[in-house]
Amino acid sequence: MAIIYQGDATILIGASNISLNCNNVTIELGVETGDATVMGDTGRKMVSTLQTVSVSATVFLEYGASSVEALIYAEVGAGDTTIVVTPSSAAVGVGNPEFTISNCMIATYSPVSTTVGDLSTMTMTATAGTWVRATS
Amino acid sequence: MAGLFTDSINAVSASLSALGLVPVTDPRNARPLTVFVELPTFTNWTSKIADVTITLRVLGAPPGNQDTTDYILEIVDQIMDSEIAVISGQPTVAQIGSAELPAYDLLIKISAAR
Repeated sequence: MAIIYQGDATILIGASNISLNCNNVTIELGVETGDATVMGDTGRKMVSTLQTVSVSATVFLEYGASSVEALIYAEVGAGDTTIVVTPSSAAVGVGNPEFTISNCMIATYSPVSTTVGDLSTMTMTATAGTWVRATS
Repeated sequence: MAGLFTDSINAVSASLSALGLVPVTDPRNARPLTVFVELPTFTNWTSKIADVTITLRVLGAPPGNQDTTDYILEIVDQIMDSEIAVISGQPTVAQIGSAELPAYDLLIKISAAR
């Protein structure tokens, strides 16, 4: 039986936990593929080549010296950002795998995104880099 | 008793107990300074998985003076700041027997899979 509180994921940028400023995080991890078909094959054969990464998080905008906005600003364009995501805030394990994305790129961000009557939020996206899944 | 929904309620009760609160699932035991865990509502995702919503009712002492209000809001804040996934809350009045207790309803969400 799995009883899980919804929306309990954690997301770290570098060593900074921004989970409490996020209400949504999605990661898409995979690989690019290359054609390895040779003469005599009766169907295409594919092999994996480079890893692919896409991270998306909805972030509540807060401003200040150690705010999430300042944190993301410092990473924009760096290309060496580390992002760590786990499905829940519990200890990392088989039931709560940890995904570490290294050297990813936050190419753009929206430091101002405000509408009358709404919380000010932005969508942070990151691409590229490499990823590792750990269960301990 | 076991099952998807009983386990959900037990998980919530355990989380509340871990916060030092007193969860109550039997209405006969509902009284001020406890948190009554109401029966869940759910949306069926598959026969194995349910999207569960549970109302937590933080019960204060009547007639609802400032000290009671302060107590209720402190408990609400404590629950909101925990692992429990609170999605909304609103003040209410709980009818317990013939008594009316100042209370606060919190809606929480759980994914439950058997």
